[in-house]
Amino acid sequence: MLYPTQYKTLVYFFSAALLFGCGGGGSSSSETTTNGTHLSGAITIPSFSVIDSDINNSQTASVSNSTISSAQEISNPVSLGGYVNSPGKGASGNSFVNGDVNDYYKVALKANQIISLNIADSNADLDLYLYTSAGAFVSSSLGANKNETITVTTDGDYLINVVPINSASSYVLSIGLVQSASVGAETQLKNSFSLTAEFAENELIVKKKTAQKTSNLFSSTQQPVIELMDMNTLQQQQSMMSSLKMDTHIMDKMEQGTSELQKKKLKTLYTAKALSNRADIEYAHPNYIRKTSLIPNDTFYPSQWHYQMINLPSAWDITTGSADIIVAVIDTGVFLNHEDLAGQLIAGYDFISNAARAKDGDGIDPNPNDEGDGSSTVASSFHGTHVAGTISALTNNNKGVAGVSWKSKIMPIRVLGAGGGTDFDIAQGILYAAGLANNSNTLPAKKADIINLSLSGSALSQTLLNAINAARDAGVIIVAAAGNAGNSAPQYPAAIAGVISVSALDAARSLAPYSSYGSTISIAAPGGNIRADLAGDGKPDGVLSTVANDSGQSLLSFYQGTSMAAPHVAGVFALMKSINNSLTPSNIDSLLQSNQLTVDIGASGKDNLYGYGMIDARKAAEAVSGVINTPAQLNVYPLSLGFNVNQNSHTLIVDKTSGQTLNLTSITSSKPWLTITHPASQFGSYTLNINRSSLSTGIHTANVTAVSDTGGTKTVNIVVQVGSDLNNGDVGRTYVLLIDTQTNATAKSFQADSSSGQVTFDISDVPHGTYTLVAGTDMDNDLFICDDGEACGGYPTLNQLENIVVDGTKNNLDFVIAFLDGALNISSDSTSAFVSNNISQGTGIKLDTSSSGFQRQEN
Amino acid sequence: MLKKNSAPFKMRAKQLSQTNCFLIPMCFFSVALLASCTTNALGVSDYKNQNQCIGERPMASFVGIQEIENSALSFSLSEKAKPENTDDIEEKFWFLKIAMGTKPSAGYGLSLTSKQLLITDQTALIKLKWHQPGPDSMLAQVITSPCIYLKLQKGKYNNIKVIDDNDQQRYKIKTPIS
Repeated sequence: MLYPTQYKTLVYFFSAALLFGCGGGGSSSSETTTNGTHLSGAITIPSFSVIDSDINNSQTASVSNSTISSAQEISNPVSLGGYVNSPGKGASGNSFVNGDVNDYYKVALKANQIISLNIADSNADLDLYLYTSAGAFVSSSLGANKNETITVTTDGDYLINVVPINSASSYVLSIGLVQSASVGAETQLKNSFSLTAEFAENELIVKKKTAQKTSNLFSSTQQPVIELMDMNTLQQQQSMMSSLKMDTHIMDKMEQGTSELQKKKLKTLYTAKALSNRADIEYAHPNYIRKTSLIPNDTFYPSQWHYQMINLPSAWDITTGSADIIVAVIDTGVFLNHEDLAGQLIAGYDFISNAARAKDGDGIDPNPNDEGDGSSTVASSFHGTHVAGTISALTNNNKGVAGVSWKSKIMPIRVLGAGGGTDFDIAQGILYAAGLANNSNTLPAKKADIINLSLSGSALSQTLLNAINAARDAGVIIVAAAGNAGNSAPQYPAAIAGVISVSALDAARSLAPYSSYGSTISIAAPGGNIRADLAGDGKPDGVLSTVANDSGQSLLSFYQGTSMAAPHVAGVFALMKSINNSLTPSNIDSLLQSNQLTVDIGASGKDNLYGYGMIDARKAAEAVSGVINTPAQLNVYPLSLGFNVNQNSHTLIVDKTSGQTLNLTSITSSKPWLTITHPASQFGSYTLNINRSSLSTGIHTANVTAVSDTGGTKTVNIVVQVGSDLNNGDVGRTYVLLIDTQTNATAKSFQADSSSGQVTFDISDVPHGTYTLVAGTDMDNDLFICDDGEACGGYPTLNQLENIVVDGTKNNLDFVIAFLDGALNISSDSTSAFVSNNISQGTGIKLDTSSSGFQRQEN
Repeated sequence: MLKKNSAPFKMRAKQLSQTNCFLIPMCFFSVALLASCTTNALGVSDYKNQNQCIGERPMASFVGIQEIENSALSFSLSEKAKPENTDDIEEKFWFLKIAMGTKPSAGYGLSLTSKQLLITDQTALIKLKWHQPGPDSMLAQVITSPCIYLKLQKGKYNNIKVIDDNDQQRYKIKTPIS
């Protein structure tokens, strides 16, 4: 029988024998038997991954894409890994000595796609250019940030160009994979140094670091810290220019602008960047031009004093209108072929029921062309054409005149003919414009938002009153001329409660001599006074707008009248509705009564000459950027959605802002392959689903449109990427590493190129142990894989690496590899801390190509 | 009626024919014809009809062609319209502007009722219609100043009388020649 102490000794001996007898981990692993232990697997490369054909990796052959003619053709969407360097910058390798100063890629792009360049090395400065396929400059992003972005504006074939500025770095260029919602305007604008921005091409703003002594750059010891410099003077300072150390290829880029102005601007931008890199300079940037108001280029705009007077140019900074907004001009009709109204008119109607008055041979008909309002051979006034032009003349088209609301549409309604118009015809015209039943037995495709009535009479009929009230109840804002009677007798429809009645001003903001006035006046606007030239422009102070003559010529003319004042107000209301298209007549009244649309003139407060005052377009536009009594609005998020090759559903939030009641009338998809799943109630999370079975490889687009019962619409733009089954992704020469988790040393490595969208590996003679399996590329040839911008993957996924215990052959160790563009979120509780940390920090894993464990793919 | 002695005429004609000149007898013939007329149909036309004319007062006066060409407050978008060839026109025609004066709305204008100048006792008669809108009409609220430029064939009349379609005389003015 054994005693306890004897048992203990036996246990010790037994354990020791066991311990020494068994193979096991630790430093003694290399002594254990490993022959025949394989680790194998397949690393999948996403089908949209592409490698720059000329990178620094000295183990790969470079195929140049450094000129436009040798541009590398790539697919779209794409995640492309690349490398560029200025001569002598970066690690030694293929391009260290001579530099790789241009990478050109040829690709077909679609409007609204984002081209995003992620620059791996935070000390590097790379720039992004976009050209047409013929080499004409389109756009650029020239900042010194980690990301450069360009948004494509039109479909087409393009060249993308990546350029290093005195530096070297890997980069990831992605197209069509970053959605516009996630790249905000601020990101795009910040330091983007865009060539298309407006700045004084010969100036720079330079701020020197105050701690620095005076340098040769500045003229004296006593000087402001921020200085405005002239490029011409700077360029004459040879020593200063050479101190900026600009590569010759940067000098070449400066010459790439297609116009002298572009070349100057490029020089200025690059000089600004180079100056910013000087030790004694805090920053340098172009002197951006901030316009306080938008000036249209119409030939006769300078004669339109009446727009300046109501602050329209600064309102145009906020909005120039929207094609969704319709203003009905109920008048003599419009000369439909006027050159300066081309494209601004939608369908209308001629409600003149008496053929003689209509001068067009019949009663009511769908043709609202102005056939004349002169009796017998009396000349026509083309009054309706003049009113329409004030509201929405074709603006900024380098000819003619400007309109108040550049983009809204005119619905011409003809009710005035020879000798004027009748209540009955006018009432029908009002009902039609408001989308209500009328004697034409037709309705417009879309009702008008605003009605302009530059007509009046001294009597009020029930017919007219009913039509006005019905239109207002239907949500139409009604504006009317106060009348030219020059007294306080009410004129109709202006004096009807609920109609915005407009009196006329001359060029000195005083009541025009002809203007009606009285307690029913709501607001005042320019009507003109041809007797005077208070505008001081050598011309009579009329309102200039579009007219015609009975010979069918497009003309312009100065007219005066409350007829001319009303359309200024109607046009400003169209601008307001472009900002907030759910504005109701009550909203307009509230805004007017709280003095938010006008500047008070005449007697303080509301008065009988000017109502609440002169319309102020800027004030009115500002007022509807969500201030008081905001009606509820339909809210859809996001307004832009992309489905990557593997995504089949996305969430869409549909909601309403707080405020008045609003209901969702419909939410529809424009394509049969995009379906919508509704939540339980009308507002909440909707799911958009893609059925790929009918979709070919490439990019497909669709819209989802949500409509509310107040007539508001929101449209979501959708882009779907469909990848090919061929899986032809390629990330270039790939290194598969086994990292010993005990020593953090690279125990084994295997290199291979991709084939059919995969890199297969078979690592033999692997000692038993615990490893992290990771793979990556070394585009910059710094002998580290998986540093920023390079392709990287790990088992089972890079986000959450796991240790592999090797105690025999293991197959099917499959995982995915992709370019690291900073979007990777590596779990901090991975058991493979060493590898995870080095990858997430951007250091990478050391590639020891000299180690005896380095194996290659058999070719 | 000719009252000449035919015999000496024939002898004269014979002499003239020998010198290849027939003009003198023809002149005498024409003048005799003219002198014997008591009525003559000369034409009048609406040369230009505008609803925006310079000047605020109702008036009638003779004007030069150049003033008419410069009178429009409306103009073309592009190149200046080629001016009509007005050479020599003033040799044969007078231009008469008749204006309604400033009106508070559209619906007013002047139109020519007859295209013939009725001349009696060296006074030419012109008939125009003064258009105005009906009292119940709804009207375009634009200030207008309608006028008409009449083109009159020159003739031996010293006065113009302008009447409306109620045969009321509106104006009586002297022609430039007198």
